[in-house]
Amino acid sequence: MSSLGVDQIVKLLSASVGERAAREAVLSALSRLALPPQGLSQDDALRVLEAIAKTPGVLGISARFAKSRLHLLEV
Amino acid sequence: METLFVSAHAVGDADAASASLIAQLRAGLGPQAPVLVTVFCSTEQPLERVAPALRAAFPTATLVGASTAGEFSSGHATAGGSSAAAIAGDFVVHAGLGRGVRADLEAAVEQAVASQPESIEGFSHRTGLLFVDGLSGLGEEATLTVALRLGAATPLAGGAAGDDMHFRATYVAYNETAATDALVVASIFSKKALGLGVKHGHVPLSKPLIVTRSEGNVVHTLDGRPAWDAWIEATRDSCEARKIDPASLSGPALINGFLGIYEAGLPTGAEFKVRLPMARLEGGAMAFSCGMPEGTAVCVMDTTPEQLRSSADTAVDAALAGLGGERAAGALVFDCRNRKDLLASGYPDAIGSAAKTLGAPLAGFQCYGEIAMNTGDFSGYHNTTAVVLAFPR
Repeated sequence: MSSLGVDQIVKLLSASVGERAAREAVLSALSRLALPPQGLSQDDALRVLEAIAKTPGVLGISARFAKSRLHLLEV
Repeated sequence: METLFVSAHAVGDADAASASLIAQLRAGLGPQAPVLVTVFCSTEQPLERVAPALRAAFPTATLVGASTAGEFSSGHATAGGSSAAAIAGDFVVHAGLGRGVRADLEAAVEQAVASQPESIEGFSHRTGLLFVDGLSGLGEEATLTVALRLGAATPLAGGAAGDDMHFRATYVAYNETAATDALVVASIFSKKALGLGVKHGHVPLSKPLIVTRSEGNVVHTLDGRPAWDAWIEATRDSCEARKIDPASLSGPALINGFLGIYEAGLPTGAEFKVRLPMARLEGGAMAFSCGMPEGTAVCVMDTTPEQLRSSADTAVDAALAGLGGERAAGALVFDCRNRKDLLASGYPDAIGSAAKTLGAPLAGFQCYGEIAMNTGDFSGYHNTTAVVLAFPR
C-alpha cells in the first residue's frame, strides 16, 4: 500500500466526530509519537489510531473501529 | 423461495393490539412460517406485554423489537399504536439481548452477539439489525461497537428506541424479553443482499461553533460560551421569521418546536453528520444523542418539510439500488421522531410516498436516533434521518 498522510487518517474518524475534532486528535497523536504528517506507513497509521483509541468516549471507539478497517485493507 | 413480507398495525390496549397484530400477520403469511418478526410499540401498548404475545404466536421465528416515539406501516402512521412485520423466505436469523449498556457497553454488545454464528453455509450475506436504548446517550458508540464486533462485511441498520417523548425509559425486545438500558442485535443471513439507504434533509444555518467543554454527550460550552446561549444566538433570526420563542418551550415541546428543527451538524468533508440536541440542562449545557468530544466543530442546521419529505424517498431509492436489480418484498424503516413533528399533517403522505416508491409493504417506527452503516462507512448513527432496510423478493 502507498504511504499515508494526515488527511487519510482524519477521514477515517471524521464521519463520527467531524473533521475538526478528528484532525486535532490525529495531529496530537502524531506529535506524541514523533511521526511526520506525510509519508506514513500502515504500521505508523495503526500506531496513531491506537494512540487515539485510548481516548474515552466516541473518539476512542471511532479510532478502534477505524483501526480494524485499516488493518483489513492490507489483506 | 420468494420472500414474503407482511406488515401489520394496531391500536387499542396491549392485549387487543397483540391479538390484532397476530391476526393480521397470520392472514398475510398464510401457511408460511416467518423466520423474523419485528414489533414496534408505543408506551400505551407496553413492549413487555406485546412481545411475549407475538413470540407465543410465532415461536419458531426470531422476534426483535423496540418501544417507539410513533409507529407506522403501509397506510398507517400513529402515535399510541403498534406496528409489526413478519418475514418468511430464504433467511436464517440469530439474535441476542445485551443488558447494562450505560455501565459497560462493550460487555452488553458481547452478551448480545456472543452466541451468534459468524457465517452460515449457503447464505453468503449477513446484515445486522440493532435496537438500542434511546436514552443512553451512546448511539454512535453502540453502533460502532456492534459494527466492530460483527465485522467489516456486515452492513448494520436499526434505531434507538423511543418512549413517546416522555424521556423516562425506552425498551428493546428479544423474543419474549423486553428490557431497558439494553440493546438487541440480530444477524440476518440471506442468499441475496438486503438494501440499505439513509438520507437526512438538513442544511447548515450557522458558521461552525467549537465544543470547548464537554463530558460525554453533554456539551457545556461552545466557543467558550454556555452552549444554550450560542444556540439561541445562532437561531435568533430564523426563529423570529418562524415566530418560534425557545424561551417559552420546555420538555417535548422544546424538542418538537425548536431543537428538532435546529439540530447540530458536524462537518465531515463534503457532508454533515446530524446530531440531535435532546435537552437543555442546568447552567446552559445541552445534552446530545451521543458523545460530542471537545474540539468538535458543529454547525446549527435547519430543515424544511420539503427537504424532509424528499429525503425519505431518496433513502428508499438508495435501498432499492442496494438490492442489485432485485425487486423489494418489503422494508423496515427507521425514521426520526422529529421528522414526523416537522412534517406534521404531511407525515402520513410522506410514509405513503415512501411506500409507493418502494412498491412493497413497509413497517417501522419513529426513533430517538437512526442506525445505518454500509460496508465502507466509518460512522453509522444518525438523527432526523430516514433509514430504509429493503428485503429482496
